[in-house]
Amino acid sequence: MFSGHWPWWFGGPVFAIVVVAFWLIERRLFGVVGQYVQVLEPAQGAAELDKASPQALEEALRRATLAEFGAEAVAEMEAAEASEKERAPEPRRREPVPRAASLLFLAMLPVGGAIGALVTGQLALRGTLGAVHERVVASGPMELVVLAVGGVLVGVGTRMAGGCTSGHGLSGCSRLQPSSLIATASFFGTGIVVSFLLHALVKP
Amino acid sequence: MSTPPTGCPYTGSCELYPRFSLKGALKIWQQRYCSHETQHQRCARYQLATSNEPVPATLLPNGEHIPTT
Repeated sequence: MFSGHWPWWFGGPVFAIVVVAFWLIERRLFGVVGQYVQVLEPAQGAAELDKASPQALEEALRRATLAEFGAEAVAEMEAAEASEKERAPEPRRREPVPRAASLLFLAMLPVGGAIGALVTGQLALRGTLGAVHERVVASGPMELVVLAVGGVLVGVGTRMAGGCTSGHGLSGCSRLQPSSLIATASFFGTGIVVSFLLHALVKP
Repeated sequence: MSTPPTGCPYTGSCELYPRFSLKGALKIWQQRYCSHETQHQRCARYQLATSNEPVPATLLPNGEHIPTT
C-alpha cells in the first residue's frame, strides 16, 4: 500500500478520526497513558470494593452514612439534590471504563503497529534501533539496557506530565489546553534538539 | 470527576470520592469531609495518605470500614 513511512496526509486524518470517534462513542479524551492508568491503578484497592455487588455496596454506604450523620441530615441532602435535579437535569454520568476494555485497547496497540509495518513492508523483529543508535548510544546487551531504562523514564515522565503524545499532543492541543501545549512543545522541542545533535554526531 | 477547589488534595486518586457522587445522600461525605476547607484533614483516608501509608479501599473518612461481605 505504502512504501517506507505512512504519509502525513494519511496518518494525520486517521489520528483525527480515532480521537473524534473516541470522544463521540466514549465521551472521553483519548490518551494511551490514561488506559495504562485504568489498568494499573484500580489494582491498588478497588478490587476490595468490587468484591461486593453495586447494590450491596450502595446499601452498606447508605447505612454508614446514616450512622455517621443521622437520618435528618441525610434527608436534607436528598431533598437538596432532588430540588437541584428539578432545576437542572443531571448530565449523563461517566461510568468507569471496564479494565478489560483498557486491556484490550493496550493489547491492540502492538497489533496496530504490526499491521502498519506490514502494509509498508517493514514488518520485522529487531533487537536494535539500527546502526546509528548502536554507534552513538550503545550496542549489544547494553543497547537493550538503555532501551529498557529509556522506556521506564518515558513511563515515569508521561505519568508526571499527566499525559503522553496522544493525550497531550492529540487531545489536549486540539482543545488548546495550555498545559498540553507546553507539554507537547517541551517533548517535541527536546526531540528535535536531540535529533539535530545526533545528526551532528553521526556526520561523516 | 471534579476536584474540589479547596479541600482534600487526594480526591483524584481516592477510591471512595467518586462513589460518594453516586447518590445524593452520600454526597454529604464530600460536603463534610472532602470539599471542606479544613475538615478534610480529619478524614482517616487523608491522614493515611499524608503519612504515605496505603489507604484501604473500604476505609471511610470517619475511620470505619465499609462491610463488603
